[in-house]
Amino acid sequence: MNKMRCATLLLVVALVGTTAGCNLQEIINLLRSAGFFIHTLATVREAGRTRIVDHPHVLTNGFHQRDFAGAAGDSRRCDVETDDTGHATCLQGRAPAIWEFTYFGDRSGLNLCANQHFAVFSAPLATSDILCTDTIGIFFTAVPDTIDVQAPPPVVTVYGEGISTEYGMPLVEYWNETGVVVAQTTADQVAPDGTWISANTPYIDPNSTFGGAYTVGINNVMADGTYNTVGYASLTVTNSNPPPLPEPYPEPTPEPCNNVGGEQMICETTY
Amino acid sequence: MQHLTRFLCAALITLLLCFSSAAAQSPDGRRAAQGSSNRVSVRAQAGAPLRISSVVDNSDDADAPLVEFVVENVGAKPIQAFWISYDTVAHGANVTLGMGVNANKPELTLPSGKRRALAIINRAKEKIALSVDFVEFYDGSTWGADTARYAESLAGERAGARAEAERLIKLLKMNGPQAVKEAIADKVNYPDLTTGSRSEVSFLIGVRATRFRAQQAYEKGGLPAVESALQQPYDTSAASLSR
Repeated sequence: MNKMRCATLLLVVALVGTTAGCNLQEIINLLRSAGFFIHTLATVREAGRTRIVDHPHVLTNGFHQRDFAGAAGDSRRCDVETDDTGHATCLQGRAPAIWEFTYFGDRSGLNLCANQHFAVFSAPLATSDILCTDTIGIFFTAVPDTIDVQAPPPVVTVYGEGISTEYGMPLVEYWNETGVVVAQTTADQVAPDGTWISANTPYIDPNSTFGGAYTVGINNVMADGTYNTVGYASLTVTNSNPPPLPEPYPEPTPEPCNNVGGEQMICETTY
Repeated sequence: MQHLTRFLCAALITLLLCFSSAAAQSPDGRRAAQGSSNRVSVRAQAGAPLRISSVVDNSDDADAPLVEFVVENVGAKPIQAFWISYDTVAHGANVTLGMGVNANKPELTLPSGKRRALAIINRAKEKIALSVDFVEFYDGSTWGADTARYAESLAGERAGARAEAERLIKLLKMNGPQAVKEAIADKVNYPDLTTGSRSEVSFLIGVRATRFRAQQAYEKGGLPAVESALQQPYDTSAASLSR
């Protein structure tokens, strides 16, 4: 869709540009100093998976490091604040090149990734992603780190920190690789210093899983009875006697479609 | 008329690049997707106090094309800052990119045995080789080749932040709150840069960071908050705390 839109706009502007008298040298000169864009992003841990979201209003400074063949533009600086979608333009910023961006902070006041540096590649008029990972969840360790659902161990212990029983025994959640909670259980034991938790291994239906990369989430109970996730551990789940493969999808049935003006139209298919 | 011509030319170029960039990226993505099994590697580094492990390659995830990994302090000394490098291909060029992490609050330092999760975006689904380039311990000693010259950056930033905080505190005492309010709103003028001027730039980054913190403090609590913010160290390093 973007390509189509660009192509249409390109055609329109090409016509106008030609009419306005752009010559090749002028186009090349402008092209060589046109700059690049940055997009500040942050990670969030949700439903056992890591997502990336816009990181808005980040104040950052880019410092040019080194050029690549054909580099053009201004190497002075790119001192910008990204907008509410995390985007900013390094106007006439040198590209292709490597730039090093320093985060000063963000307008939210959380100042995630403050003082951190990110070396990124700039391509002319392309967007360079800058990813802040301060929001990512804390990684814990599960022992064992692999379980067979046909013969699961009686107990799984997760080592980490900040695990608390102050308002109740923590909740242990098992997420499958598609981010669905497949089991929940309450902790049986928690270390007094909050560095480990153990719980009976919950039942995971062998007939409904082939196994995969699961995530175990540890949730402390808060004063108001809600849960707060304090860390995650990776867990490989296997199934030594997997269920039969599901029936393959039927062949798609094309909707009838018309041949208009001798041109084959793209038709929707249903499954 | 001349302005109009320039504007139209610029718009034309933007659209040309938009189109060509979209067209150029898809073949790369397909090619890399086929060989995704060994896409991410970690370089073996004898004696490294920081270990990269738990690498998860989700580059094929269209919504979050991430390479996630964990760094763990496997040495005896707490770590204050580190630089993780990764070799990859960007727009057809072999490049070494990376990230520098500096603990700006105590809970972000890495004591022995502690781990921290990090991630990088890999939209192009290119091969990535991760390595530890530099480690700065809490006591100020360092490890690693430091090809990214992160130690120089850290030293410059800390010096710049300290100098600017001292200048602003002095300004507050001598000229009063209004002078400080104006000073923190001033832009930092960066010189024409070359790679040789890293120390100078880092110093100015430290200056800029201090002004930003002071501005944030002013917006939240007015001038009393500014004075308090200026007393805070730039980070939790011994170099900052011993000021």
